[in-house]
Amino acid sequence: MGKLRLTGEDVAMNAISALAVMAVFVVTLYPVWYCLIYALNDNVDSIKGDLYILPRVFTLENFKTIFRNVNVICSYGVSAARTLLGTLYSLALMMPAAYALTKRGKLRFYKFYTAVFIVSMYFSGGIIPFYLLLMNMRLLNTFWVYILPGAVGYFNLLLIMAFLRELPSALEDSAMIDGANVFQILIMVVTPLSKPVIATIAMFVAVGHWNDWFSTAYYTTDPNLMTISTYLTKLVQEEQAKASMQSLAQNTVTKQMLAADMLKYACLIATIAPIVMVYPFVQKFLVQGMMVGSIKA
Amino acid sequence: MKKTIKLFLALTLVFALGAGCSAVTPPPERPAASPDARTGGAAAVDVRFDWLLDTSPVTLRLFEDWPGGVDDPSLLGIQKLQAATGVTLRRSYPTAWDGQELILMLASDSLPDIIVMENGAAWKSNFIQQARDAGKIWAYDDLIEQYAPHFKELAAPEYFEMFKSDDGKTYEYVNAIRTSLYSQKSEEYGVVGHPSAVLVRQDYYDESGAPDMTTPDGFINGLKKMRDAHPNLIPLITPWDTWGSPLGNFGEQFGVAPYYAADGRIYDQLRSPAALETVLFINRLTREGLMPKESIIEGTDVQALVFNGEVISYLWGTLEEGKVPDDNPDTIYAFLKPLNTWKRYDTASIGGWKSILISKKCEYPDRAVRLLEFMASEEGHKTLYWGEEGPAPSEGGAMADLAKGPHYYIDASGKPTHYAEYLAEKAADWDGAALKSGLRQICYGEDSYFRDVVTWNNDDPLTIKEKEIYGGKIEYVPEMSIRVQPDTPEEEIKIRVDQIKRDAVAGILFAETEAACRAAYDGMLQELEEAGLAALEDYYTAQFAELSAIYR
Amino acid sequence: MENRRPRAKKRGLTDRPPRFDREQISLQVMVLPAFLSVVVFSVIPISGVIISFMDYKLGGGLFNGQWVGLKHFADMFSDKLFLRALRNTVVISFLDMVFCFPAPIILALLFNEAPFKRFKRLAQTGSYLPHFLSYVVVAAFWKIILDNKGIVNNFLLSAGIVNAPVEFWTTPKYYWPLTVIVSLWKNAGWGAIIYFAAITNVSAEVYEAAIVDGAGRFRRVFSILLPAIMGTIVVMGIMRLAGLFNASFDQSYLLGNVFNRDVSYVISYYTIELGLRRMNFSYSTAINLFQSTASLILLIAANTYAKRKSDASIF
Repeated sequence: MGKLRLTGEDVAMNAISALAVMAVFVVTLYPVWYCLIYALNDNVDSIKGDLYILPRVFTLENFKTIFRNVNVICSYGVSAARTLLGTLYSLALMMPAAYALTKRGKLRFYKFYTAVFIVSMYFSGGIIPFYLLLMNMRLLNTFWVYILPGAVGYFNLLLIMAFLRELPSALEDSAMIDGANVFQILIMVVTPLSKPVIATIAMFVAVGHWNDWFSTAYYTTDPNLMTISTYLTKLVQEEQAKASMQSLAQNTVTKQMLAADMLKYACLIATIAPIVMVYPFVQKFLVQGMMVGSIKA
Repeated sequence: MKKTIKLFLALTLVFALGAGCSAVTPPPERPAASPDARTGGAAAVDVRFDWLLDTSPVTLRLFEDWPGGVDDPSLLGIQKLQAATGVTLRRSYPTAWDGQELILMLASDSLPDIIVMENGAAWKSNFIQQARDAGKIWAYDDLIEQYAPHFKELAAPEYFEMFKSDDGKTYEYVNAIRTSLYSQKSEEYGVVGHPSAVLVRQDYYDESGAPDMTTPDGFINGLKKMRDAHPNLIPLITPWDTWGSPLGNFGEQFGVAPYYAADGRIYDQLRSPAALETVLFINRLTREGLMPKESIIEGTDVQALVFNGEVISYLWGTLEEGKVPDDNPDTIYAFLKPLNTWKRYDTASIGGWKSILISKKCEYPDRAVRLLEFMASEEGHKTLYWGEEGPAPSEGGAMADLAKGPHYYIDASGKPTHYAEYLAEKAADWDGAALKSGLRQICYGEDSYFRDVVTWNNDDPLTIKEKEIYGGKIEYVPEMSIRVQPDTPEEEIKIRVDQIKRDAVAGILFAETEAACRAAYDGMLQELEEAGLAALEDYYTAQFAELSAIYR
Repeated sequence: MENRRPRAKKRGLTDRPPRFDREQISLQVMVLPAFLSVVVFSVIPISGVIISFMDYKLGGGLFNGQWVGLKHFADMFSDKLFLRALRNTVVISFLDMVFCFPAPIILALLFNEAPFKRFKRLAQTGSYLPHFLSYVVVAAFWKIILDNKGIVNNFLLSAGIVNAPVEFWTTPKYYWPLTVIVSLWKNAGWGAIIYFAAITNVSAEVYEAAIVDGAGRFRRVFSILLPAIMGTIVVMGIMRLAGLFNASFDQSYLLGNVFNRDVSYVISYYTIELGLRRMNFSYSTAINLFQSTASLILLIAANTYAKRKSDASIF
């Protein structure tokens, strides 16, 4: 296939979309850059503000403060383990369920299941009944409290279902004629085709696990179960609590006290960094889509 | 039938999952009672010191509802406590400042031994109410009767009077309230505390001719002069969290009392003429562009602005005096004399920093209440706040180092007083000083008098200046220490009233004309009336009468 | 294989129920784990909503407490503060829907069409990063940018567009548009991800056939890509509509201030302030119940409408 001629329309579309991409790039990446410069800038100097392009007084002190605690490595480990296992578990539960639910005509009790799912999505008894349930199931203060609850979100199920419905049925039908049972179809035909949605949902779930500081804060007390998100949240809250106490006491405030609040930028970068490192792998699954439609050179 | 089987299978599966998978770790650390027999201690130096009856090692778990702490048993303060009472304090803190963890602990019946809450937390009174109703916390009256009979002698009576529940018993111990002992002693010594004040940059003030800012017009003109000389700076800024009502911290400048007494009745302070005067004055400030909107916006960091030299004057406390701006190391921020109409009324409702509860889950309630007794007593303050005693400076006494001290001496009048070196270290780095000395580190049962007496020093220049300016202008009015009980109709009204006052601040203070300001103010009073202010004022009047009978 | 009956056409709902054969059991087994997980962890705790009809006190067990029927709901709707919060929530959600719902779709389509592959990948990675910034940082960042002495005002002043700095954060009428802008910035990139995935589904052959047929660039986007991802769009759209009564607490708390309180106060803030912070759980549960019920009604309505207009729907 030779090079296609660029029409006027093509040029216009290319220009508009390129501009959009550039704008998005600047507008969204810059704030993260902004946080990065504050994270790498000396806190006492940061109080002055007015930092836009580069740090004024470069220092790694903020990151040292975060990693000073030996338990930080353990926390990253716990977060990673939780993210990995939790995501696998979620997908293992949701993929078959979504597939079965798309077979609306064939699946008995479809309406019942759907009704229950919908109710679960919108209605909640609040945190107290949930906590009591966890307590009664003896999940509190265990690693499994991170994995088992909340593994299935109807919202994600719906997305997978929407995607699956768009798949051409030809492959499935031919597999059925070949005598494959439902499980085999799911595993050998449907799943390989669903890589984009699996990658996407996996990303959503994984990010949810990674960022969840709530579970650790309220459902565990064992320091070995500390996750990095809770650790960082605690750091930031600690500084803020100490800072606000000063103003209440109307006591003299020193620069050091103010400066400590700047730690939140470094905490943010520490949270984002692993995600940014992992996403390119996820992107591979999505890249195919980006090729469709663009002029192949 | 099939559905039932399914359900049964499902539940079995669930229980299998739950029981099998959960690596059942032992329940959270509970106070491990030392196996040592509890020895009946020998008689102590002072027979009133109940904590000396049993100093065997024991661990008590304390939850402090404030995210800013760390549980570190190696802290000097913790060790001092251990040495004096045998109690090892293990502390835990929540991750976020929302009372959520307390809720879960109460709901699941897993409260720790001691609970410490912020006295000002919005959820405090309801929490205590519900904990009490569910029978989860001790009444101090019972504990004291049984285990610590001398507590009421060692601590001021207000601690057991001011925070009674509606059943007449006290379930919370609120520390550092402004007791009559404090007021009496501070009056004797001539201490005025560290009032709220406007701090101004000395060089800007001097170059504008050191104007007299002790009258409303004088204040405004003076500020204008300084603003004209430095049009890019903020003339006056205030901390946003002082604006719970349209008076902010300016009420004192016009002598506004906590309540307005007129024709034999007690009214809300906003009805007083002085309050209206205050508000009109602030409105003048904003209309002249002297106080920007940032002053009341949450999140504005006044201190950062001050450090960056963007501010001509700011509202804080007299202790702030001495801050050096970055761009002129030869000058400082000094506090201005207040308006001539300045007057402050102190009640016992001032102070009251933390509220301490002892839960029924505590295996050693006797040790818990005695620990509190220790912390509240003068003896305890010697250990946790005063430090080591040394000779007076006139005899060559001075602080050698923070850890070993000595930290205080007895002055000519017999009052314990900190060495100047210690105070300087503390001012330079609060946290560091506390860390190294172990003093002012464990602050649960503190008493305002015992804590502060050692810091009073009539030779200290700041104190001298404060006395000169504020002396004689502070009145202690215990009969105005009115408290609204939780879960009463008055409390409902008060919550709404406070909300209305808070919401009215922006509209009143930043009204574009004086007429608009008055109109907004009247509108707020109207709203308050509709919310039931009159009924609340009836309650105030009754309380005032009661308290007057006690104190006058 | 003789015994198997090929199911050629989809069964309608009025036909007799599918047979309980091996295929059926397999399908049921597929649904079961997810279903159980939901029942145990999400449905069972729903029993807690009972406290919205009671005067629940902590520490007394979940089902103790006086029965008060609909008192909390009556209190809710007669509280002016709540009604104001309700109005703000609906407006903010609605604006969010109108502007922030199409944005990720358009973004995904634009990204798809753009040249410069490598740069695109980088930009796409950047586009979702704001989603991860906590609202504390987001609010701090935007407040600095839109400050009276901030970059935006400096630009406006020097370009002569305005004479005095625009007070973005303290003028009530700017608040709602600002929430849209901040929301867009924070969530558009993340929201686009799901549409990227949907776009990958479009088979290359169909697309190239369209090129051969002479369809222009714009035509290809609107007639091929858009319909192909319509299923996803409808699902997302229905869910979004059902969220009309939910607005972000963080946004309201951090971007709002005393000056724009009238327009920034939302239901979630009200719930936290008057419910959780006062330990009045019955009340906060009642408010949540109201929101849940309203969402459910909206969901069913939206779904029914979608079913009529297209074949894409949730259920």
